[in-house]
Amino acid sequence: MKLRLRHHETRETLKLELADTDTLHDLRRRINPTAPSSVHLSLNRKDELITSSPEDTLRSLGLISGDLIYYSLEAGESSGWELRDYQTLAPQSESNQAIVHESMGIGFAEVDSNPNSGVEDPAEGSKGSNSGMDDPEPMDVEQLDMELAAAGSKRLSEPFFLKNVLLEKCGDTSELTTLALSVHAVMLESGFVLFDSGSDRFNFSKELLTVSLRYTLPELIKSEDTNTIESVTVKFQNLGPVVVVYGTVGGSSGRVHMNLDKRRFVPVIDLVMDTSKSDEEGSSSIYREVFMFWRMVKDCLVIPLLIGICDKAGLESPPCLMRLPSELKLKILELLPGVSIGNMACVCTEMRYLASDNDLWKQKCLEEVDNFVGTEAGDSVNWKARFATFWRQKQLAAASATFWRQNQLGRRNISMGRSTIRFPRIIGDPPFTWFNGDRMHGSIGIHPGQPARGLGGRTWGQQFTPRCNLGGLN
Amino acid sequence: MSSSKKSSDGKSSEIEEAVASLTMPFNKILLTSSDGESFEIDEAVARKFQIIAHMIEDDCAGKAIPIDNVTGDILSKIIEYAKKHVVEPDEDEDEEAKKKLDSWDAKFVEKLDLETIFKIILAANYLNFEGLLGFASQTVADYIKDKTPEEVREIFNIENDFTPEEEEAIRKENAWTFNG
Repeated sequence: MKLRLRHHETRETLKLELADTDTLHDLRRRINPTAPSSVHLSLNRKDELITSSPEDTLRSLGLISGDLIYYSLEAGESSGWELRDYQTLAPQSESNQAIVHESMGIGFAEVDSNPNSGVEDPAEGSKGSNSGMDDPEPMDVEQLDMELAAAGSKRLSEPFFLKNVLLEKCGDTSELTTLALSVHAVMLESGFVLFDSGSDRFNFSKELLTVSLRYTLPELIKSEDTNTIESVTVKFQNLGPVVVVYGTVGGSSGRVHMNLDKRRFVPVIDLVMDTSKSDEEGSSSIYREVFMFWRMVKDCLVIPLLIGICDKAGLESPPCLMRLPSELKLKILELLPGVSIGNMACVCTEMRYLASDNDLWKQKCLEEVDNFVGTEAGDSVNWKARFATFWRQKQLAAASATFWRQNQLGRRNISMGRSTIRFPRIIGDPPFTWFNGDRMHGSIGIHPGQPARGLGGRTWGQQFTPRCNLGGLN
Repeated sequence: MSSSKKSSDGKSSEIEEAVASLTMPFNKILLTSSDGESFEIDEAVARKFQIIAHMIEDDCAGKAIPIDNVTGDILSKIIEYAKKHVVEPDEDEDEEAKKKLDSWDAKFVEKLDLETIFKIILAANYLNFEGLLGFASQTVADYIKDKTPEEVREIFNIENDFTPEEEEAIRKENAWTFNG
């Protein structure tokens, strides 16, 4: 890996090439061959970087190519940097490390089964790493360029975060492990920390069919009693070509699940691990697949779990549609076609209220109704009803045209595309529902409450008779 | 300088504006995110954010502007988008450029998970960056289009808080949409 070593006072920067398996001492020796112990290293110019175990490799400390490390050459006493041993925040085992990474700007921590033993809050951790930026001394242009270069490479943070986590834990490269670790990386990045960990939970062998991991949020690790802390459980099940991932919140019965296709993701993730960081081309297809994976796992598994646990623990939920201020929700509704606004009205009470805005429907009439004459005073007209009428007429006309066209061709059986009637399904107590993990690529099969009525030649007319009275406008 | 800018003497303010426009390309603005990350950008890019443009107009934009509501990762994405969109290509005049930009936009948003998109919406709203706000909102709208209410609830983790009676009423009220 290529590291930049900058003298903390003169700002002189050395560029050194080291092996991933080199140790901190090797690095010190490269800087000052005659007196390596006089070299003090730091990632953030505040805390000194040392390890309790001298054989620890640079890679295991979370360092990667392109990182910036400050050094000072002080004989005897250190340059005043606080001595903080990054390894001793949790019991010595490779899987329990708290690492703060300056160029990544991401901190993550893991909790062992005893929450009392010095937990490092990830938020705190990353603030610490950035405290170097808050230095009162003015930033000169050269430093800024360097920081920007580091920040620029950070923009590929997700694959590299993934890579870091994988590299650390890598011992066993079975497909289940790779996928489980990747999901673990997404969990960590979203703010979860591991809870109640066993010592070799990351060495799933091929024989293991299911693996279970428990997570919680750092804010919740306040109580001494581990039984009262809210948590989520992620279970991995090895099922042939697919790993099925289940997520549940606490003890509730509702759960989310998704399928991870091994053949699709494992090769790509393995490639990310092997590819050196010099490949900055974010548009390459490998990274694209990793981004897709990340998005899938985050949207389908991690965020629902995060929302669930925040709900249970009374914390503010992560940014989501319902958390937007009303004017922004309305803005999104404005961008939708009339049909979708009607659908949105069926989603929840707040959406129903927002979607009933008369001006909004007038706008939709303007946009979608041909030959629209909107000279009547806005308030006195129920624009939504108007739109509904127009829409139904449009559907009738389209169906009629198709019917006659088909009839002329002598065909009797007509299928009109999406002819199933869908009704919103009432969901029971838990907010989670079943869905397919790969919904990004296909639509979900919805189970209608009523049997779908096909549009056969003679029955289609009945389908369009409204059974409700839309304010007399029919 | 601020007092003379607001002077009623048209001629001197013209000269000042001319001087300002000459020096503008060389002006850099430093933005600092809530978690201490700094970004140095051209004034032209910074002006895409209306709140900063107003600060520059009112001459209260110092060298460094703290953006307290936005974290570094989100701010960097916003700046990335702003840089690409400093000059919006005219659809009629330069179709090629517009197509390229649209393609870039699509790739940009493809990598983003929903949580990030919402964070971007909130940040773009705060910064008053109309272009990105519209684009991100359209992205969310595209998720919603052609989906049933059930699907929308699943994607956005929305709880169904209707009573069975309300559900029935709502279904009837919007029955016209279900034939689409």
